[in-house]
Amino acid sequence: MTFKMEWYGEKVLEATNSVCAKVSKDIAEDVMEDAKRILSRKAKTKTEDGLLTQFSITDSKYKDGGSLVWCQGPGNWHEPYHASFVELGTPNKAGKRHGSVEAKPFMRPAASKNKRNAKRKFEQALDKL
Amino acid sequence: MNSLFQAVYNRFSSTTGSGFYNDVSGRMYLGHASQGATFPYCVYFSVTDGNDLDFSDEREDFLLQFNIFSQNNSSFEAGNLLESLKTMFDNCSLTVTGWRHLQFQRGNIYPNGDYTQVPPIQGYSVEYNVLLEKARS
Repeated sequence: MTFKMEWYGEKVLEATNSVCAKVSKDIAEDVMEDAKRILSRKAKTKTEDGLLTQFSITDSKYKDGGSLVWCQGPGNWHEPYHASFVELGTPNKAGKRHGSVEAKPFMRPAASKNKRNAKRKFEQALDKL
Repeated sequence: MNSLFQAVYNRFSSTTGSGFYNDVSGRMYLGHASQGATFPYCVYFSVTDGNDLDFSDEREDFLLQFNIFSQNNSSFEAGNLLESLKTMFDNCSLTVTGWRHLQFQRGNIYPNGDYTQVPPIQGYSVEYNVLLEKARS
């Protein structure tokens, strides 16, 4: 009697990776849309509003892959660069009436809002495999 | 959420003679600092607030951010503020009215200075994950 075992592990892994890459891009798009929505609600100046056109998504170069959502990221570098100042806030400068930025976080709330959504999307996509 | 902000401020102001309160001379503001505030100072605010329900409990999952700023040619004061902030809030236990406090865990730290000023403004943004829980009414 002989036994024959066929191993499809590599094909399964390939299919899983391809699904994960597609889903992570979908999620990145959701995060980007939410970040834009949050920013447009919070933006009060023309400069802050201008950030709405400076979003982009790239593939992550990290080992585990995934997608990255940027505001004024690579290929979208603008002068003045101010996305991080809007996200984190800046100090009030002594003796100056202008120049300070109150923090108006838009990237982190968008990422946080999509955490559960991301988990559900991964589950649904992998269930279909 | 006011009770969390109040609890954070209560912890801050509970040790007036030493530590972080002393280092910023009591200047910790909610949301934003007044224009022309004296350095050094701290601003704290909520970045995100997620709500989570199950059959018996309700949880609030906050991301709090503390911005600390020092106007000084040396980065020593800003570094010192960062250390005393960590000492005060890392894994601290808060009394939040109406809630059980579960966690106050430090997350990311970002440098956040403005070197175009003279003397330069040196600062850090520090994130804390805060978890609160209460029985559902």
